[in-house]
Amino acid sequence: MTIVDQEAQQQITDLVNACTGYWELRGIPLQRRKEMQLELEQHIEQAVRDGKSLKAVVGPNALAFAESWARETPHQFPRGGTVVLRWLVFDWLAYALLFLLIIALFEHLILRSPSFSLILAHVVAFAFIGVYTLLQAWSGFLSPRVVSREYRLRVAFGVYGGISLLVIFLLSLTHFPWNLVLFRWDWPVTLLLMLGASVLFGWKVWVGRSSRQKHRV
Amino acid sequence: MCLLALLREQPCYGYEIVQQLARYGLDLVSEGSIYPLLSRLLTRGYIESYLVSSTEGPGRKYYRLRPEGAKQLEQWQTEWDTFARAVECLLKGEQAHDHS
Repeated sequence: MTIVDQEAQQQITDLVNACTGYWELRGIPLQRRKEMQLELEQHIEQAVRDGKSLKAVVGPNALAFAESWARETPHQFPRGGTVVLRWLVFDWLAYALLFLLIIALFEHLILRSPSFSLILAHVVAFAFIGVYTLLQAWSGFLSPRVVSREYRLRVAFGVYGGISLLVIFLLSLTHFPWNLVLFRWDWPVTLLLMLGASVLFGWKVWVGRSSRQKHRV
Repeated sequence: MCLLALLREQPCYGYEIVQQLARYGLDLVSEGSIYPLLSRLLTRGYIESYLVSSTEGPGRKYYRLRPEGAKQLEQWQTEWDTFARAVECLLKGEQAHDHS
């Protein structure tokens, strides 16, 4: 029996988190989900201590494993709505707002423009941010195949880059109106956005901290 | 059927079940595939789970057989015996029994 090293522990955590996130999306009640999470974590830790791989526990396709367990567990339909909403607010909106602020401030401060124009290209960028946050969250499913977290994130980024380039290429073929102005606003609105972004990030950090504390208890 | 037979002997937790099965030469394709099966047996009411607390960390979930499971196991065992006997006869080249 060997001790679980830090890298293996990280691998286990990422995989278990990815599975738990998936089960949440599949509408499995919280109590049952917690039991499944604990059971899986304990099983993998013991297996790793006995010298087995993650692949020996969940098979080569971790997502298929998570799905097969979810299918045999009583769940509610439709229940993924709150999860999607939380992802939209905490992950997508937070980063999309940050991106918007950076470019708005760049136009106001560096280009000395009194107003900021939201163009169609920015909306496409928001969609790309959404795809990236999703891929990042689900990169844990790569744990049985890719040992290092760094490599897992690189793979996720590679897939993201590929998808982005393909979408950009396809949109270019259709003569997409990248510069079409959707909204235009002045300084005060950018300041309001700054305020909104800081509130959202503060909330995100606070919720993350309190859930980590609950997990420890 | 094998899971129910194992749990008839004694309550076990997931990893323990996998180890016991391996001892009988029943290695699973992936160890985790035991959990969807256990979940199905739980849903059907053949087994039940309970948490055993530990001083070293979070509790461990154990599974045990319910009377409904024991009854089902008996039925499956009868079916299996009939099936295994038929296959054995076939492999040995014995004549099929005339049920008419």
